[in-house]
Amino acid sequence: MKLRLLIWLILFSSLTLAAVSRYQPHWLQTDLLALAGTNALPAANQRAQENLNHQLQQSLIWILVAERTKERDPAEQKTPEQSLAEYTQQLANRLQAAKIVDTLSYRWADQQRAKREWQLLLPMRQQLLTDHDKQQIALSPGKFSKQQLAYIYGPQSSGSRLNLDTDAFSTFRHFMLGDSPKNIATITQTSAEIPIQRKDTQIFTLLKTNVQPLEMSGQVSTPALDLVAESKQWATQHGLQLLVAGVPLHTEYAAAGAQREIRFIGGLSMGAICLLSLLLFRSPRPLILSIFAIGCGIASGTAAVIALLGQMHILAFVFGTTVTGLAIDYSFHFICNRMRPGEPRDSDIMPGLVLGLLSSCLAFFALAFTPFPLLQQMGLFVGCGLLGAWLTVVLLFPSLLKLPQRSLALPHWLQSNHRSIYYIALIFVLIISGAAIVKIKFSGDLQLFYQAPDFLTKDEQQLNALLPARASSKYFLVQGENWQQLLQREALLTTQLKQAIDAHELQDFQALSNKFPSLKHQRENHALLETFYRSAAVNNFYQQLGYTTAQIEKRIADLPQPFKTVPLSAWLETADDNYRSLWLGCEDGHCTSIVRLFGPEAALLERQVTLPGVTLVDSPRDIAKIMSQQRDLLLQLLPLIVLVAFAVIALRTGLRKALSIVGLPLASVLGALAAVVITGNPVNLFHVAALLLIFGIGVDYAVFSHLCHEHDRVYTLTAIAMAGITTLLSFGLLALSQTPAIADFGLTLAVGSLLTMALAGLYFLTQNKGSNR
Amino acid sequence: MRTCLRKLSILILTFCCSVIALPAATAVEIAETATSETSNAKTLQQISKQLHKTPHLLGKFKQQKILPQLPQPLNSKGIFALSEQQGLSWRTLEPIASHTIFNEQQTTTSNLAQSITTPMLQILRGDFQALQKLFFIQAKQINDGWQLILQPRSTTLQKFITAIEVFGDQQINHIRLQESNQALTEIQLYDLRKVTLDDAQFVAEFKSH
Repeated sequence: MKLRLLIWLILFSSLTLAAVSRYQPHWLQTDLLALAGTNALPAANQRAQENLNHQLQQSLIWILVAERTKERDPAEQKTPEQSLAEYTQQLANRLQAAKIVDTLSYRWADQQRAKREWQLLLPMRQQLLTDHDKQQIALSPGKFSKQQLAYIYGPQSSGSRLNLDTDAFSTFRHFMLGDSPKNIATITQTSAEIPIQRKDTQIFTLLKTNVQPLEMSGQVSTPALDLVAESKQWATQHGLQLLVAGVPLHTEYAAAGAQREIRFIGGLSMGAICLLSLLLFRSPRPLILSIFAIGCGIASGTAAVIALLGQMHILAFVFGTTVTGLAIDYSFHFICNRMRPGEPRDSDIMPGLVLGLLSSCLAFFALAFTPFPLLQQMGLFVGCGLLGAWLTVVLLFPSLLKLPQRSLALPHWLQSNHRSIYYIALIFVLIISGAAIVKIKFSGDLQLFYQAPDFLTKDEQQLNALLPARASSKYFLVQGENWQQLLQREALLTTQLKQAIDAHELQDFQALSNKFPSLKHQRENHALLETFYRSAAVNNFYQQLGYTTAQIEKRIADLPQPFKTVPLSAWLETADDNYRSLWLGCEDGHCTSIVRLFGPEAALLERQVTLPGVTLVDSPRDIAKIMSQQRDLLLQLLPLIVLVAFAVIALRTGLRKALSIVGLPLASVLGALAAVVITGNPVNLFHVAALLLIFGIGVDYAVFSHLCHEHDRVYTLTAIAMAGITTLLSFGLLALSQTPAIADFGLTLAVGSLLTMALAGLYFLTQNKGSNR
Repeated sequence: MRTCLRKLSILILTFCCSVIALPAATAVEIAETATSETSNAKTLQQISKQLHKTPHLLGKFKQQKILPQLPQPLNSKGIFALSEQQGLSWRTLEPIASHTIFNEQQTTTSNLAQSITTPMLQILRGDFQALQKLFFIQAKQINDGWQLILQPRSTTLQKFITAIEVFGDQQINHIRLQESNQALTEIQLYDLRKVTLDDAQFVAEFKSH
């Protein structure tokens, strides 16, 4: 007794110590995008994805909308734009006061920053040209100078701070303002430095906030969703509409849902186990010990994940609640074995327990070797959880379990069936499944992880309708040995992207080289303007403005500027945040940047951009691809696992019995897969993961049913029935999850474990004579 | 000593008088301001009545721009058309031919240029109510005509526009725009005529761009 307790204490203390040494405060993750897993992506893509995830994870977009045509009091001294600007200021004050809001921006570009950028780039003005100006100057310098004259003469130049000394042809002003970006809505005016945008009869303002990452605690808390709800109520009271979108809202919604599911599924599962245990064993001691074994299982699973992986996603924890259903198997088999009248014979149950553990762990640990964080965490959590529960049962139960013995017997009519019925059922399931599986369809959709609720998608749809384009989840990753090479490679890419825009395959893009061209392009621009300044068009331009010949000569002589090299890092210090976030820095001799895409870019993927150092990153597509690869890998793994389990069992039981044992879980696995196919669902990774677990459970049941003594079979059958019902309850309840992936997993497991239980039951009922040992 | 005392008593007396007189003067000023605001509003109302507003208008312009950096004023002339729905067509014929259409729906990233064209549209439409939301308006009756002096309310607009003066009678005749960088634009409007929506020239002004 003492030795067993000592071994148990040493094992669990070591695990606890390992977990404590790796413990970090945010070990329980809620980040949806982290689930998708970036491990399988190349290092630069991973950093880019993490960078983007980080930006997305904390960013919320708020749009305050007012109807411009709305009837207003004529005595009102404010324009609708001015009123909206005032309300925007009020909303900004409210948001700034909220604890979860870290940063907030809603005013016109930071003037101090813009001024610094202007001052830095002004000496480079001869090197900076928009594509439009560049084309015009190269093709028709006369037309270009005439257009500038028309602009100076026209009313639109009034108030534009036209500067004939430093920017006579407004090329620098054009460059700084950009080539009418398509991702900016119509800015009608600014009121109190707040840009007011217009779409049809609506005017709106845009606020961007960064919120703090969600803190997980025992309580279900949704601070960002609460702030949105309060703010929307405030907006409605003032006759305005508030639209909010951003990943933090989805994260909170999913996290709160997962927390509720843990409570509901875990609670109900535990409740059912308690009730069943009390009804059957008529003593609280088996129940207390079973709960202790489950507790040890969950603690071991959690500790193992923290010690080996450092972090665990809340959804993996939800999956993991099924460990309670499996861990109880060992307790029930041990306890049912002890119910037999006479001296305790624990050794009778040990071969079944060892074989059951080996086969189940084999299935679960297989998941831990996939590159998917969710499956890794789940496999490790459940595998180690089972090991912890098993060790607790085997090491502590023999001395701690005291139970009133009961004599159980099967009704006579249940014993009269012939063994062939079992085999007929087995073959029937295999044939039906085989026929159904022919129609198998596959899916690797990322939406399996999460489906957004209507109230969030509605806001996003309205918001997308107002804003001409929002950044796509697809982007280009550009790499170069240094920033000069990187900008040059970006320039090659942006040339193709501009063609895609002309072909209506892309709405817009954002690249560093838009605002800071490569040195090659700067030199080209410099040379082009140098030639232009010496042209007759420029002379004519000054003549039209009334300058004398001497003045013209002086003006033309003053136009050319020396070439000035400004490093990218200097510009980045003054650049707008949108551009700064495109730069990922230099590491190991490689500099990396992102080129963001806007609009419907699906056709672009067909374009197959093949440029050196340029990669199209389509994370949802890549993740879907990885999910499909993993699904196929697991499907291929399944026969191997069956073979290994068969070999392990055959060593103990011989070939014929091993075949009979393995036939049971195999039929359950194929039956569950057929059920998925028959219901018309495409098979995804989570169905396949469930199949592995069904196999583990099925092997457990088959091993116990085949290895028990003839006179003990009623006790084994009781244990299997108890284990089956509890497993079914906990897995079946997972099917109620709002997360499609978990629901698919739960439903498949429910069907599979039901089939396993039915086949195991049938095996017992057709056991006509003699021991099976 | 006596002189000092006398000076001190004069000072005290002056201070007392000021203290008594100041509120009285302030009250007079407030009353005057209120009266002037009322009379200004009345004048503006009269001007609004006097001005013949029309949804569709064709006319000619002469423009003189004096830019501080240029050795001589820039003179131009051309045709303009005003439409309630389509905005303002501004066609310069001489010395540099050009054509631009301005309207509220116009996409522009230069909100500064927009802040000039929006008041221009409101002035030509005679939409004083809208103008009052952007400018302080001083209205004066001069003989048979009138004069409006518009001064920006917002500090942003003040950075670019010092004042806009508008002269007219039954029609708007003259606009003077003073920019904060010393630039001055004078626009003479003449040969103004009401047109129907299907007037060939009017249609052409908004079609050919």
